[in-house]
Amino acid sequence: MSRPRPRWERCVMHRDGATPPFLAEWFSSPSRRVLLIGGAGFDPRSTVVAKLLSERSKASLSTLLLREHRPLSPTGLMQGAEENIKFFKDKLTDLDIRDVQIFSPNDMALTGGRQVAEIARGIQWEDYTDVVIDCSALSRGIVFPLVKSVLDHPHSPRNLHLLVIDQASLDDGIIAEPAERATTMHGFKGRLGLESSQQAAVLWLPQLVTGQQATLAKIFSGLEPKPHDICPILPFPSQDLRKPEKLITEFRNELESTWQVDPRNVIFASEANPLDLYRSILRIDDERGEVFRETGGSLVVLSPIGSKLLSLGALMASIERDFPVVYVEALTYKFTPGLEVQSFSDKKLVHLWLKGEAYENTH
Amino acid sequence: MFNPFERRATEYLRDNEAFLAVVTPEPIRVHLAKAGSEKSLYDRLVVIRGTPGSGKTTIARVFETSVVSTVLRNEEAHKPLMAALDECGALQDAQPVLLAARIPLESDYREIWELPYPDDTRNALLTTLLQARTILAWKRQLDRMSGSPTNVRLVAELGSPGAQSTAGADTFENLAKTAARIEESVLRVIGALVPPPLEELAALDADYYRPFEILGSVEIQFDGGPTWLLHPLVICDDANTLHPTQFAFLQRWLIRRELKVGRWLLTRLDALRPEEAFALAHQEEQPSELPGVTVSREVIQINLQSERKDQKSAFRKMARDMANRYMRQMPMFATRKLDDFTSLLSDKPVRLTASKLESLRAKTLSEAKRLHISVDRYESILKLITDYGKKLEEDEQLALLLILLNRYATRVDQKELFGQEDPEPVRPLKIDSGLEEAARLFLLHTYERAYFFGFHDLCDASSENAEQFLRLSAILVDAIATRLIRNQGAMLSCEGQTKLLRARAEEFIKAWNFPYYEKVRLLVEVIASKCRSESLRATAWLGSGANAFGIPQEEFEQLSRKHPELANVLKYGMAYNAFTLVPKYDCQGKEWCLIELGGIACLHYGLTLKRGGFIKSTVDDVLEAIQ
Repeated sequence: MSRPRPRWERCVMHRDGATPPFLAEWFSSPSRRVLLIGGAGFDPRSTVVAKLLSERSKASLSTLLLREHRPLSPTGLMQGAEENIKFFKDKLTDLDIRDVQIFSPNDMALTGGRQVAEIARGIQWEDYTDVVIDCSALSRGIVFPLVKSVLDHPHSPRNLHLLVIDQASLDDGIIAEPAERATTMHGFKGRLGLESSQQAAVLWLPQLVTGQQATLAKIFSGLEPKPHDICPILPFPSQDLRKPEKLITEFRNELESTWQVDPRNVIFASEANPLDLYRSILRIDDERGEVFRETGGSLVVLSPIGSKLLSLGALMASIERDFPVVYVEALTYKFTPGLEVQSFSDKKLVHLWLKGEAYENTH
Repeated sequence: MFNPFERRATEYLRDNEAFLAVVTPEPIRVHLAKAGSEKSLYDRLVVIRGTPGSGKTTIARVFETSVVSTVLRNEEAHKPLMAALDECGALQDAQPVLLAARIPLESDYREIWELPYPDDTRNALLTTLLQARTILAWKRQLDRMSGSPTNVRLVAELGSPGAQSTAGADTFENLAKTAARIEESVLRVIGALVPPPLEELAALDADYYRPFEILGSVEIQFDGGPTWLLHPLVICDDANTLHPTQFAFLQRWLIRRELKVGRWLLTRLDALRPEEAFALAHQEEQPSELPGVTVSREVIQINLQSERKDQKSAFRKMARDMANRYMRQMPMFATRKLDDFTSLLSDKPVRLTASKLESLRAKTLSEAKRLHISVDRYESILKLITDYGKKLEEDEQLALLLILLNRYATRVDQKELFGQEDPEPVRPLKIDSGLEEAARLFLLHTYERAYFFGFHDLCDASSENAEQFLRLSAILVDAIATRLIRNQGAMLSCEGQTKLLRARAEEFIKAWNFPYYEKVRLLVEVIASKCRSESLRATAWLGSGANAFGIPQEEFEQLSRKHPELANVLKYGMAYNAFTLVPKYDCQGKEWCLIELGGIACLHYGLTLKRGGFIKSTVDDVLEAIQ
């Protein structure tokens, strides 16, 4: 059976130092009107893209910063955020900062995704030719609905670019204090829980991350219906080539006893290339779709909790196939800036061009 | 090696047979049989509360119709469970009487509260989704039953179009079709990135759809077999996920007598505001949030963690049964006919080595010398110990001697110790079980002698939480399996048990991962270190030792109002078994509220598992601890 071509089969991606020259060239025309959406948080990567665009682009630049508020944020991180905001104010002229309460103050239910979708709805997209979402300092719970809002909007700008700084070690160094329970990401519920998918064979694709057993346990416990199969995603190749082995050792109880994963059911996805994971997920879904077509179909559930770059692969797959995304939001973060953080540069910037002129003749 | 103890929650077992193989009927009997025998489980609202892992979902699942039908299909294998279901009124003449399904109230329901609509609309969406999903879940239960029924008939007055529109349809099949349509429409509203305008909701008919008010019973027929008349029962699980206002509304809605279906509401203790959680943990009735309703008459409240004394023995019975069932799943044990977990845990600790014993004896002599205690008195105290009714090991005797020497020294006038040869103490020295415990605790901390061992300690360390029991047992089961692989005897030594349990407890605490866990950990650390230093005082003035902070009751009552963050820390710590609260504890003519450490903290910090010993404290001390 012929399958439709994946939407991002030939996705334009820049990395390994190719991103800054591309951005400089692409935004060299003053006729471009760019809306940069980024995070105004403690993450030291917050300012990199804004700095790059403000210094090297000739396009008119408007910036919308989303400041994520979490109930238990420590003072140190708040100060870090303030410093970053000061930088933005000094550097950027057309700047709007919007607060997003990630949790409801009453019972800590997730509200951030819904708020960001509302913010996106209020934007005059017609005013811009390009929207650049800098995912580096935004949490997944914000990035996913935001990207979907832009793609779904009938008047969204011609070009949608995602930028993220590829530094898995920094992502690993930001330790999240997880919320109490797992939830589906706003706008990414898919067919999960629907009567029409009750007969479907559920496949859960959790991304294994150091120290996140409890988070994955919450997701597994919250999944209804319970998955029939589980294929953990391991980052390989990765900067630390022994990472998959370490993760297998760390998750041995889950793999052997709790989830009972067949050793052959492991997905290796390049830590530095989100398209690798995107393609793997789609391929798996295609093959399962055929196998389970007569018995209620297949339902793939994604849980991207690890490196941000890898989770963009999951984002693309879930947008394309309406996969449910189940995750646990962070109540707060712990982060101690180390030497490694000081040394990152815009060379680590990865660019994904999700929609726009590059595809207009192919799509 | 596959270890089913690591799997923990039974809800992960999809298959009914696999699920039933590990389910023990004891909690059902203990918590539900009384109300069941009074026939009050299925005609009014039943609220079941417990900490995570206390077995709420397991209880709910046992009552599901497809599970009950599996029990009946294999009566011989599930006799005890069948008896428990019978006691609860879920069976009549060995036939099911309930069409029951568990509905997890996961985040979809809470999401409704975030929609930009008036309260009435949001509440209508909540009840509409709940009713639609319940109908679908009932249908799934019937579909999953062995020997699917040939005919399902609604026993309800559905003649009028009004009744039909209230129920959603006139036949069970059509009812399910309507429910599927409604579910899809409501979820489209909930799942939309941007919700549709209010006017578009009119198409949902949420105001008219009220099948719970119509469905009295369902008759199902099997080909050439029996006809069952089933009373519908909805079991709403995880109600703690709802917004507090939604929770209160749902409770009010489910109390209504117009509803013909049975309804259970399962929730965690942390579902409510902190002060309510504190009160509920101790079965104090809440002032009514439900105007016009006498809660005690119209709601059956069941608390899975309670202060009742018989609860402890019931938990031990349940834990033993559960552990044996899990062991039978492991071929390594099954093939060797090792199916009694308790018999594999030694309860006879090894005495200290000769050199350690000698050092302890020398310590008692030097202590006697330091305290100016005469040789005769030393001997008479030693005789008191050897004459003590219980047979104590030599190391325990010496540790006890050390404590009694210090107690003696504090009970005589110090001046007399220098002047008189052998003064009498103001109060005579006595030995009791508390002092024995203190001696063992001293040996644990000084000589690493085994302290936590045997099945009862394991149960006490589990804080009456089934999941915690399984997780603690898992490491012991692994160690026993390793012994078997190495051709060693299966029984695990007391030393091994103490070491493994304490290591596991440390792992658990490190892995705590719930809201405010860092502050909970800080508080636990402060309470534990204070309790440990006081418990190990030379005179063992606390007897068996302390594992709690006591706050004056009147101070505690102001806590949630004056210190909301601390109230949340206590709420989550309590919900996740880090500690329990024992309010209105009488001691020395005063009322206290005890913040009592859970079993895991006691294991990790080496504190007694016996309850009641506490250190006097204040709310300010507790506040300081979490800063």
